[in-house]
Amino acid sequence: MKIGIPRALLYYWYGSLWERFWNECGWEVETSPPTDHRIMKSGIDVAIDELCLPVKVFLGHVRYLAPTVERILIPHLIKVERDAYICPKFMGLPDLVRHTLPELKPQLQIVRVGPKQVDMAESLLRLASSNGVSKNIINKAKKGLRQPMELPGLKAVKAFQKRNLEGDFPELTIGVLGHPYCLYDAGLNLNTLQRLDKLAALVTPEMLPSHYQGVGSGKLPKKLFWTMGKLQFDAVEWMLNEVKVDGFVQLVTFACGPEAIVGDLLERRIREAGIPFLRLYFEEHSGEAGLITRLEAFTDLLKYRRRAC
Amino acid sequence: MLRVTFPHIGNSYIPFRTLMTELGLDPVIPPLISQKTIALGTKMAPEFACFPLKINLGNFIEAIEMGADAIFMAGGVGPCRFGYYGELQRQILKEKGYDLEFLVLEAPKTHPLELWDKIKRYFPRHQLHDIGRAISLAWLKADALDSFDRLANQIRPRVERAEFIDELQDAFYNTLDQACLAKDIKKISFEALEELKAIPLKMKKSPLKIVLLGEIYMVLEPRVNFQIERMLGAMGAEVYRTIYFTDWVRDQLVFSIIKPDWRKKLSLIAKPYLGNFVGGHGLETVAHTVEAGVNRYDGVVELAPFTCMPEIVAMQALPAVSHDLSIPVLPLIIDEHSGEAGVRTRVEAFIDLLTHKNYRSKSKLGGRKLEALSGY
Repeated sequence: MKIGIPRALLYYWYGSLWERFWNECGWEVETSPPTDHRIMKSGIDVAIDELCLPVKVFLGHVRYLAPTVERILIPHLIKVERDAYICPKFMGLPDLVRHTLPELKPQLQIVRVGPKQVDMAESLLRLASSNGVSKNIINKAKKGLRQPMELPGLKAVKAFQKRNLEGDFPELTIGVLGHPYCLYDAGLNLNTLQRLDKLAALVTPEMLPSHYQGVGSGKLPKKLFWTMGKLQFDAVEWMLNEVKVDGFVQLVTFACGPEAIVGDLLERRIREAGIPFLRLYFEEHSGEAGLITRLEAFTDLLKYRRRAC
Repeated sequence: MLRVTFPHIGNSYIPFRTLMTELGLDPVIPPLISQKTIALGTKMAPEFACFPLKINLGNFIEAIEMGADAIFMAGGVGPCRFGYYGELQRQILKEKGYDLEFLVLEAPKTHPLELWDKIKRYFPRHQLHDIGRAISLAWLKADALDSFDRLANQIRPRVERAEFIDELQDAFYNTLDQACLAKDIKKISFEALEELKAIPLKMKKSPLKIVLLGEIYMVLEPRVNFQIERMLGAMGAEVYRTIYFTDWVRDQLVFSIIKPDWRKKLSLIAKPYLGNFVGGHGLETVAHTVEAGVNRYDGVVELAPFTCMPEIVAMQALPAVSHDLSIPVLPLIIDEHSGEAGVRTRVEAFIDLLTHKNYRSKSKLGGRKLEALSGY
C-alpha cells in the first residue's frame, strides 16, 4: 500500500511522525514536494474563493498526490490539546476535500484527532489497526513514535542557527511569528524565512523550550481557545524575556480567522514591550519585490535602532 | 444606578431593556445601527476581524457617548471567534481611552459559580424572585417579537402592499418596547397578531418559499443584512428564517445544560455533508439546507460575514447539497463594503430564476428537473 502525505497545513508539525509511522507499518510513503506555483494554482482552481490560502495549497498537494498513490492522508484535527481548537477549517477539512474533489473520495485516509482523544500518535495507532496492520507491527511502531522527532520545517531554521553559532553571527535577532504552514512553507510565503535569515538570526515559535509552555498564554485575562494562538503567545513571552529579540515579524495569510484576533492581541503585547513589529500578509497574488523592500527596510530600522540605544 | 449598555443584535434590545430595568440597572440602548456605527467600529477594529465585532464596537462607542458606564457582552469557548470578542473589544476600547467596566457573561457550562458571583456583584436586584420576574417578562417580549415576525414573513408576499406590513411591524416594536407589565405585553402581542391576521390576502398564486439561514448575527440584524426579509417578502417570497432569538436562547443557554445532545438531530441531518460541529452556525447551515431540500422549499439564502470561518466550511459543502437535493442556494457575504444595490440585484436575479424554475416545472415539462437551474 502506498500512502501520500500532503506537505501542507500541519505537516510542519506532524510530518516526521506521519512518515515514520507509515514506514514502520510497512507502507510506502510519498510526501508531496514543497509548494510551488503549479501546486498552488491547482488548489486555487478547485477551491471556493472564500477559503484561506493554506487550505487551497493543501488541496493543491492532494491533487498532486492523487494519481500516484493509493491513499492520501487527510488530517482531521478537531483538537490536539484539551481546551483549544485548531481552526474551524481544520475541523471540516475531510468534508472540504470530499466536496471539492469528489472523485478522490475512496482514496482519502482520514486521521481524526479529537474531540475527546487528543493524541496524534494514539489516533494513528487506532487507524492502523482498523486498516488491518498486524498487532506486532503496530507495537513496534508504537515504540518508534515515542522517540523525539525533528520538525520538518525546523530543520531549515536549525541549520541557520548552527551556522550562526559557528561565528558568522549577524547583528540582529528577529522573532518570526505565525502559523507553522505560513512560516515554513517557502512556496506560500515567497521564501521569507530564507530571505530574513540573510539579514538576521531567527527564532520561531516551534523552538519554544518546554518550560515556557503556557507562560505567555496563561497571562491573558481570558483563556485563548486556539492552539496556534496560544503557542504564539508563549513564544512572544520567551522571545522577549530570554532571547531578547530586536524585532518581530508576523506572517499571516489573507483573511485568516484566528489570526485576525490573535494577531491584534499579539501586536498589543509587543507594542507594550516597545519592540518593533512588522506584519506581512500573504495571498495568492503576493509579489516578491514589495516583500524584499519591506524586509530590508525593517531590518535597517532594527539596526539603526540598536546602534541608537 | 449603573448605566449599562450592550451590543445590538436584531430586536433583542427590546427584551434586554426589560431585563436590565427589572434587575435594577439603567440600560443605555445604543442608537440603531447606521452607517456611522459601522464606520466608527471599522476604524478601530482589526482589519480582518469579522463584521459583527466591528459593529459591536460602533455600538459601544455610540452608547458611551450617550453616557454608559459599563458594557455587557456575551462570551464563548470557541472555536468561533465570537468567544473572544469581549476581551479584544475591551482592549481596543481601553487603548482608545474608554476605560469602562466590561462585563463578559460566559455560558454557564464552563464556570457556573463565577457567573453567579458576577450576577450578584452587578445586579442590584438579584433576589431569585426578581430574576425570575425579569426573565419571564423579557421572555414574553422576545416570544411576542418572534411570533409577530414569523407571521409577518408569511403574510408579506400575500398582501397588496408589502410596506403596510413593515409599518405595522415598526409600530408593534415601538409599543412593545414601552410596555412594562406582563398583561400589557400579552395584550399588545395578541392585538398585533389579530391585526395581521385580519389583513385581506390575495390568494391567486402561491408564493415562493425561501429559507433564510446562516450566521446568527447577519440573519437577525435587519440593519446589517439590508432588511433582507422585507426585501424578499416584497419580491413575493415567503421567508422561513431558521434562527430566531428565542430559539437561540433556548438552545444555547437552556438545552446546553439540561439536554447536552440537543444538537444531535441537526448533526444527523448534516452528516452526509458535514461530519462534525465546526463552530458557530456552520453545522446548522448545512442541516437546514438539507431540510429545505428534503421538504421541497424553493430556495435557500445563506448570510455570512466576510471571513466567517464556520460559514466558509459550510459554504464548501452547500454546492453538494444543492446538487443532490436540487435546492438552489444563494450565498451572500456581507461586510462594511457591501452595498444595498449589489445585494438587491443578486436577490432579484435569484428570485427570477426560482420563479422561472417553478413555472417551467409546473407547466408542460411536468416534473422534469431543470439541471441548469438546480445548482447555483
